[in-house]
Amino acid sequence: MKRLSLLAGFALLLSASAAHAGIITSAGSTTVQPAMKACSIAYKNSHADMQFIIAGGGSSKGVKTVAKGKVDIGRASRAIKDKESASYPNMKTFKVGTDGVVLVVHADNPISDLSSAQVEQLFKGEISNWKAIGGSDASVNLISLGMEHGTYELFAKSFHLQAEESDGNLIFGKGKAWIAFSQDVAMDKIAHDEHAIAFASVGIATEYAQHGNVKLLKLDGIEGSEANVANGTYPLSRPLLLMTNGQPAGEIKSFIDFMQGAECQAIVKKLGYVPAK
Amino acid sequence: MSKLVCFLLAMALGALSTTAVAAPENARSVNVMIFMKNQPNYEFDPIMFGSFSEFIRAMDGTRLLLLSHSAKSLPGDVINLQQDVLRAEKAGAFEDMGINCQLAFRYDESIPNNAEYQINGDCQVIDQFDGVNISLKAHIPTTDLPDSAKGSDVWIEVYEESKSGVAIYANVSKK
Repeated sequence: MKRLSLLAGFALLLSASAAHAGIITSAGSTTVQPAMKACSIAYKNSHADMQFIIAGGGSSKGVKTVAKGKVDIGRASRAIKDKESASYPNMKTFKVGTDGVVLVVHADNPISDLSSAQVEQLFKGEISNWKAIGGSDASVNLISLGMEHGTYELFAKSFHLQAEESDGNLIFGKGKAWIAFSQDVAMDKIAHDEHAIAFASVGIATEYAQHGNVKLLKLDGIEGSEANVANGTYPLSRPLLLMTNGQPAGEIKSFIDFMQGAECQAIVKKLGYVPAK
Repeated sequence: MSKLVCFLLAMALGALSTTAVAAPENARSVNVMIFMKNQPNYEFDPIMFGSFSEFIRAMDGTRLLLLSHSAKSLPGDVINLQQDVLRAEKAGAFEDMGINCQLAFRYDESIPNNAEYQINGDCQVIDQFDGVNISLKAHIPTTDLPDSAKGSDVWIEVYEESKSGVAIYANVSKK
């Protein structure tokens, strides 16, 4: 029994990150991940001995894992829910930017603008052919991020969508969306499917639009640009957050300060997000 | 004199054969483990520290579906993992259970002193979860894997699918 307890204790220690000096671990939002990675590379210019281990998992996983002490810094691309704040009262949040969520289609899709009502109808399966909204005569292929992603939560809430998961798909009424594990996977799928539609962070979507066969759609006539997210005219926006379990100290505090500082905020801006400062 | 020439030739051949056998400096072992939850409410951690055996021990509450160690992998390699069981059913048909992955192993040389490798690719997992047959097609996005040779032995969750209860972890080591 004693041995079993020791083994269990050892197993718990394995996943706890606090014991690893010189290493900062992070998990959560895949939207915040590119900014954190870029900033960690910049941070190492002055802190060469630091090692960063940055995993994904989505905002909900970011909240849970940091609150349970399994990573040093959690990441979320949405506001912290009341339920989460109540469950994890010690959790501290640090804003590093603001992001917009945009609709994305293949570059050859003739559609360039959708109304909020059309987006809702598309994902609920009430519009299942592009022809109904001025596109080509082809079935609409829906792509969604999983329900654990902050990007999904904002999208679903904004368009009154409620999903059920079934065989790797999200079912929104009559609409059936294939679940992409990350935004990169969703953008890659769009680049190879002329009849697909997905939603993604403006930063990631803009990067793919510059290098791949995808394009961003206007929503209710408003372009999902950095400027429109910053000035609040673009309706779908959310905060980009870092979280810690209690007040950060030492290396973790130093890195969070760096992420909110001028050098990293310039990186955040370069990635297409609106800097927090 | 001829002895000296023979000795030098032998030395040169020895050096050549050593070069041919020894792995290049950037060769690494790419380790992959695929787990399935035993209980539907089990939560996979995104980052796990430890060696092969320590990691497996810490995953109590899951079933190990595949354990793979691809030694001396070089950036640019495509790693194919396959594990199949064909089981004869009573009706005379065969049931296919197994895993098939194609993973690309990469290293970004544009980042100075980069201590991370990357993998991406696709896996298909055919098995049973909670009494239900599953056929999962998993796309693994490009994921950074810390080089254990330059730091701690760490396993990164590169894929998870909540309904089937499957999670894929990967690790890069020099061992």
